[in-house]
Amino acid sequence: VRRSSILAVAAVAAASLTLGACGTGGADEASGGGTAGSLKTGPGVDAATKTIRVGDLTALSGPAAALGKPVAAGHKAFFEALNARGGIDGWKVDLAIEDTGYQPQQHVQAFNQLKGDIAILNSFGSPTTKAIQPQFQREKLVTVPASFDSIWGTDRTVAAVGTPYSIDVANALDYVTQGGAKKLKVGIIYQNDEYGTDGLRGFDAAKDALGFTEAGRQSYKPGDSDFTAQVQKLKSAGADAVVLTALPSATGPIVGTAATLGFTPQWILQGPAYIEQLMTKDGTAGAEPTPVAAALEGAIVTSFSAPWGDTEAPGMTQLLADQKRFAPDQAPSIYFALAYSQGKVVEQILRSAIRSGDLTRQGILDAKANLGEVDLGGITPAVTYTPEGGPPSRKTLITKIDAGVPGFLKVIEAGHDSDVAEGIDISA
Amino acid sequence: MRVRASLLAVALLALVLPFQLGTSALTTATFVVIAAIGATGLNILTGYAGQISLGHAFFLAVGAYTGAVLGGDAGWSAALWIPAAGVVAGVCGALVGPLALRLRGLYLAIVTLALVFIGQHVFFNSEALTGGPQGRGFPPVVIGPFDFSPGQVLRAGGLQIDHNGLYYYLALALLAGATAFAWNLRRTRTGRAMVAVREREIAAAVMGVDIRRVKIAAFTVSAFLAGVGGALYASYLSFAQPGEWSLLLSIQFIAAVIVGGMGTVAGPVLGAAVVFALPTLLKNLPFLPEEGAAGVSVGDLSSIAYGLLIVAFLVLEPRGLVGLAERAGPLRRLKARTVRLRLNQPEEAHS
Repeated sequence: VRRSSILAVAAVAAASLTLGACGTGGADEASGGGTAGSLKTGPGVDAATKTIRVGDLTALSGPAAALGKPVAAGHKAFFEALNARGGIDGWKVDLAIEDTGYQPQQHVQAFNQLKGDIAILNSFGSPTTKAIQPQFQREKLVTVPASFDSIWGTDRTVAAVGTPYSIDVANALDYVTQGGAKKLKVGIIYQNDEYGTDGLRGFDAAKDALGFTEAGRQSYKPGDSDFTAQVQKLKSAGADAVVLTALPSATGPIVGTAATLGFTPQWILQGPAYIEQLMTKDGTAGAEPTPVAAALEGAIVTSFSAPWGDTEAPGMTQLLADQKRFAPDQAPSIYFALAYSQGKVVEQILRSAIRSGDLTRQGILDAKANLGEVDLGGITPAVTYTPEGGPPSRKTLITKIDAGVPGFLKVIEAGHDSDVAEGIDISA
Repeated sequence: MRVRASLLAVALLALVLPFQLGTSALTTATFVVIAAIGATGLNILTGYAGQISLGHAFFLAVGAYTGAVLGGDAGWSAALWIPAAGVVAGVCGALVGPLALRLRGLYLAIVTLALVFIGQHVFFNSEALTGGPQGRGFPPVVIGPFDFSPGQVLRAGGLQIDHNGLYYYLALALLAGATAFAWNLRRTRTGRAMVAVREREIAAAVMGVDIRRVKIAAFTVSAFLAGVGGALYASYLSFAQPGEWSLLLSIQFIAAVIVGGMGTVAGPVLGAAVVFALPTLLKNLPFLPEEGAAGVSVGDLSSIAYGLLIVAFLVLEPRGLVGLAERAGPLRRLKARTVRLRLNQPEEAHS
């Protein structure tokens, strides 16, 4: 061994000893806090101008842009309308939107950019939100995900809106089999990812509890375009009902392929499998119907928000008025409506935090945990937040596709719940 | 001497960078440095030895999951699981290497492409290892008293280095090692043999180069660096789904190597900076419309610009950024001479 390398080794050893003596330690609490009058403030809260900054990490580009755009538009329209109405007890909301293209890496980057200066966060997508989960947990930053993964019920910092996928599937199957009374052969076609796995969980739970016969479970990969094999297998098995845990880009071909093969089971579309554009070209009522519109008639959809324009829901009139004023170009979209509901949840959390005089991260987190039930005007099922956590809702909005009504969805039951759904353990 | 000086300048710049950047820019820089480690690996395989591989994402994934199992499930120190990630990926590389003995060019590309798809299938279905389609969490780097998880800071003198900075410096140190290795490799017997294989396989064989050995070595080294980069990337990201390790990731790395300058030492670093930082930087251009506005989104515009840039590089400057710099070389020397001439006449100004 040469002398220089011995020296180098010695130097490295010495350096690591000195550094080893210090090590890392916990960071100081997030700065930007203060007290204004009787109100305690934290990051993202400006007491001088009475402004609260809300972060919004969304997907305006990339593979999920078709869903991310209406979600961002819904948040934007809700908060602009809220500010125009005078804000929350005089506080205005400043929405900071960042496009992360549904990429976890860009999501982390944008989160780091925003985190020091926001009071609450909206985050689009499952894989993206999970990538920032350890960080927002540590920052005690309440986060509203646009995702229905069952696991969100276990995180106290997460304010999920909407019923988890597994519970939706279980409730829908409970409805279709009339609580197990109707002996049906049921199959499922699911997307081979976390969304599909969660739907499958509900399917398995329902199968055990309701005792229906399984006609088969068929998977496909995101991006697949031919579904003949899957459809043919379920047809041969004689399925009476088929659950589709899919995205609209697969729903169309699956239902279309089945119709050409003369296979017409009771379709059960899980929320994300449906979009208005499956029925007409641009999703509006007057437009030209799509080739699969006829085959979709009568399909059950576990919609995560009330049909567009269905004024039976008390909150819909306000939503339509706000959309007309602040997002006039918006086509009918259940995603827009969902985002609008998320905005309402953010408003209620902040309102409660303002009333208790504590707009610090901890104060907002406490406000969320103790919020109790939030009525969302019938647009999405009411959510409940408790200190113990748990899914925001175990009720499912059951709708049926009907070309004759606005939004093409007719509400069958606004909040179907079942023993099966009650029994699903979301913590697993 | 000039090379030494500029190297020193680059090193100094890289060291002080975290103190000049905001958190978001530092996050981007950290991702770039981590990606540069993987790109350096691919450059040895493709740039030095001339073997086209679309399978880089697979080796990154192998490294990442090795790190997750050893660091997360078994609780090893990062001083062990980071090298182990490289070794396991390297072994996979050595197993794949022999394929390159029978295949060349496009055929090799297709076979390595299959590697990505086989990997995807395995990762999606081995729940214990990868968490299945839902994905899994990855452990933060912990070496003795040094904890790199979010919220930890290192206080050294008056300086504070947060979690992003810690990852940045660790990745920088590893990148420096990888670059030095790549630099030295070029001047060794194996390095020269790799270049000979790239230029003409038969000629190399005639000259007595053991082609089998060289190709397998190139795959092994390349996969080793990919494994280290992948482990670090997943650890910094803290969570990843199997879908992350897709063909797109492989292509991004190939783009980085090409844009930077194939077969050069600095190329992969420059290329990684362009490929992995540009989408974020483009998005923050001031003249672009506000996010959430109707019409084409900023993200779409940045994707388009990014695609155009890669096409432009392939068509106009296939030797990449390094080639561009070499072209600028004569210009720079000219400028330097003029400056020196001016410096020689200060007395006139005083008189």
